[in-house]
Amino acid sequence: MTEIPLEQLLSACRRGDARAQRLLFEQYNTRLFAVCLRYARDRPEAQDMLQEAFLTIFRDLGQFQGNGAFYGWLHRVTVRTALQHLRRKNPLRFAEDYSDLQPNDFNISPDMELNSEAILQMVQQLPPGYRTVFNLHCVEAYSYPEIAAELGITESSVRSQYTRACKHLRILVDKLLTCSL
Amino acid sequence: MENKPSTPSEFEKLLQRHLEQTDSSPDNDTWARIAAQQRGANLLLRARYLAKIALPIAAAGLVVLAGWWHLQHRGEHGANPPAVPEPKISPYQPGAAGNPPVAVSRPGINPEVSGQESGDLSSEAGGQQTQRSGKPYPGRQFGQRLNTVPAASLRFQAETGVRYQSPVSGTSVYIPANSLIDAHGQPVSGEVELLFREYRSIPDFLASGIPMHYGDERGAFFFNSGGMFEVRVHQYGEDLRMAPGREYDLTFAPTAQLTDASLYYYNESDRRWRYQPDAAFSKMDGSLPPVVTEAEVVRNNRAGKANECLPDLPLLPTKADPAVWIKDAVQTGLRLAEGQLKMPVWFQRNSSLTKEQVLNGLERGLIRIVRHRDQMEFFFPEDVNNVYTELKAFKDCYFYRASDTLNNLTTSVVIKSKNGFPFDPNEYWQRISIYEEAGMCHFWLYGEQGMSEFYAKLSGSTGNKNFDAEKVLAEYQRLREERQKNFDELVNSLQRFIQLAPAFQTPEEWCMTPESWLTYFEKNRPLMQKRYAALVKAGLSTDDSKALAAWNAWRNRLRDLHFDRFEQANTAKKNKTGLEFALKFTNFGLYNCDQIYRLGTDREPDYIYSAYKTSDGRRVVPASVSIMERNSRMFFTLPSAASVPRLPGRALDIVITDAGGRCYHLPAADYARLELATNQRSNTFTVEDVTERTRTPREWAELLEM
Repeated sequence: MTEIPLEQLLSACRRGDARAQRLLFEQYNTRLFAVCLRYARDRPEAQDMLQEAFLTIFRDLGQFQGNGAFYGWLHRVTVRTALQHLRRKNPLRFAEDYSDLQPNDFNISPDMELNSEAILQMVQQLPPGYRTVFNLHCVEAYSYPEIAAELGITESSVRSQYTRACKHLRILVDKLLTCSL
Repeated sequence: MENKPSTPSEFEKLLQRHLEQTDSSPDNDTWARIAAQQRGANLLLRARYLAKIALPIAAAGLVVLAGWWHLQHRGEHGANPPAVPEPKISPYQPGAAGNPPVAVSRPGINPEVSGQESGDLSSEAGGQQTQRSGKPYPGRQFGQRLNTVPAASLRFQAETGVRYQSPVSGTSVYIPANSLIDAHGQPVSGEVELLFREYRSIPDFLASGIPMHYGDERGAFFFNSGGMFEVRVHQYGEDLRMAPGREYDLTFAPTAQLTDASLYYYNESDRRWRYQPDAAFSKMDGSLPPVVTEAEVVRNNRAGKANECLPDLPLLPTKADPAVWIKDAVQTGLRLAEGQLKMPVWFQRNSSLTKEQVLNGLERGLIRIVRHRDQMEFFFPEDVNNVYTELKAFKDCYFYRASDTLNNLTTSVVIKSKNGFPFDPNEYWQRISIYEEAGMCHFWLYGEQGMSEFYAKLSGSTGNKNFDAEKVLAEYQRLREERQKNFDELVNSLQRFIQLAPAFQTPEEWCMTPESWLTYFEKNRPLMQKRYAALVKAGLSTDDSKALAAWNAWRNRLRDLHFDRFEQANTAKKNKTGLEFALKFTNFGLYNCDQIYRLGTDREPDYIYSAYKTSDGRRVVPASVSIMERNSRMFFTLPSAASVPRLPGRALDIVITDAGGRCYHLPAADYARLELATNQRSNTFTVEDVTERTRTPREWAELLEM
């Protein structure tokens, strides 16, 4: 199949061409779904996020001026949509404190192996605030002040949530490694 | 304030690397859902694009036209404006009162038969015909699998409306004329299609993948469904809606008379059930639906069953051979009927106890410690009820508690000594075990008063010249094992007998409780003797193939009775409850008539984190988990697939569906046998892949033997 140049594809998408939109979806859905999975509690929630992200992408495609990488823009839109999704579900969740969370509150299956899927599952099991802060800082490389501004919480709260998220993940990884020995 | 990213540690780098490598595709229908939502937006995008091109041209055209008009009319009208033509009234325009246009046709006049294979259904009005398609209709997908519950499809004219009644359930739908609009709010005319589907049994629920739990500000609840219905209207594959201010009528006959049932609507955008208060349901006070107890749910479910008197299929252990069960049941029945085997009182009173419960709870003696008439320190155990027959091994023997054995090992009771004898002869114990340990006898006594353990030495009586402690203890052990084996076999036989008794009963006897039937059995032994003798004569007590054939015939008969029960009951278009709810709706979609409850009586059961794997070690990641208890006819899905309730001893079938739509089953007998320690936080369940065997509700019914 002949590959359609990106500019042509985007232009068709901007005109509301459903076939072009489908091609765009097929080209990027897996990578963007991975982003959604990191921010979501589970797969159905990630599905919802992906759906909203693509609707936003098609709506705002006119704003992409061709400066910079297209995937970077898609990624930013997806993260922003995921955050909006989480914020809409519970506006206060980013400020929630889970200091009494115990490692036993997590589901670690004895037959789990330490791989991408296992780590994703661990991240998904983090409380939404921890998970979001962790993703924004560790994976997206946002600074603490940027995250604080984005989520509307204090910078110290961002720091403590990130530290606790890492601590929990470390305990879980250690636990998993111990189980699999 | 620091505004630069801190340097990530090795651990953070590891997590980052793994998370960036995550590779997972969304569900296959994701694009379809995006496309459906994007359709309207695309019209706007197209309009915007066209406007971008057309506007400058139109503007230029207008300027030219205006110039031309100005040139043409200058001086003709002077200062007078041009006359505005009177608007024309179209035949379908609303009248002065603003009423919508009314079509002249009557509702339900001429709907066409859907062009599929002929069915056995017909609509009520005008002798129209439609059908319940044997093929799944590719409508909404609620779970990870294709929804294979059959739907009725009916074509009709939007201008005439339609009235349809399901001959299967009696549920009827009436869509008024000219009440439909499309996604853009435009009135619809011409041929449209009504799709109507009901979910009225557990196999239907399983095959549909519809989530069967509900949540509100009070927390999460399970559904106990009295049936669900789904109504949709399409034109050219597009969903239609009811026009604002219009309603359609639906008369729904629930499958069971549920206490405090309520109506719920499935919101497809967030995939959650919403409470929809409706005046047709009894309690409608407040914004939250009433909650019932689990006991109420079971009572409701069993009330329907009592009327039908249809027995459940016995839950055989996974690897049990049904032929062995049939043979044993028939032999035991004949022995009981002929009096060769006396029916134990505990069995007659507690026939529904599990084998473990019987073995743990009913093996009780009446044991006391009797002292030697002359020598104070000598004693022997005696079972007045003669349950612990192995104590016969200690005939002409005594035990004595030497100075080095006087301290009890453990005891939860105060051993009362009397006249220097270290036991109270009037104290009775229920169980006794004696083990040989380093030349001593380790006594273990258990009774209502508690437990006691101590050491004693074994000795022969004065006249017992051939006393040999080792031989006596070996004989004790042999007799004990024999007794346990016999008791185990007796319990097995009695359980098989009572579980398979319905296979040989008359339908009238199905209405008796097991306990009352056992009494009936005892009072009518000649009749029972004749019945079981005939079965023995037919070879069911000896011939494997005949026994297996009898089992299969019974299973098929019962399954058919269960599966067709609903449809048979509705041939007269009446439901068993006699209830009907007259409802009015403004939205098409999926509705549920349910009661909501939580498991447990006093408090919620524990949940344990669960992982799943197949017997060949393949890991199963659950997307949804459904739980069913056949006896109480409870079926629900769990809000979280990460854990399952810990309900020891209860026979719960667990069905897991993964993200790819594959289905896995943990049979109830296997769950009931699981020993989940109270402090256990997680468990890996071994499940069987049943995807290929559960494509339709019928196949689910066969798998679950419903």
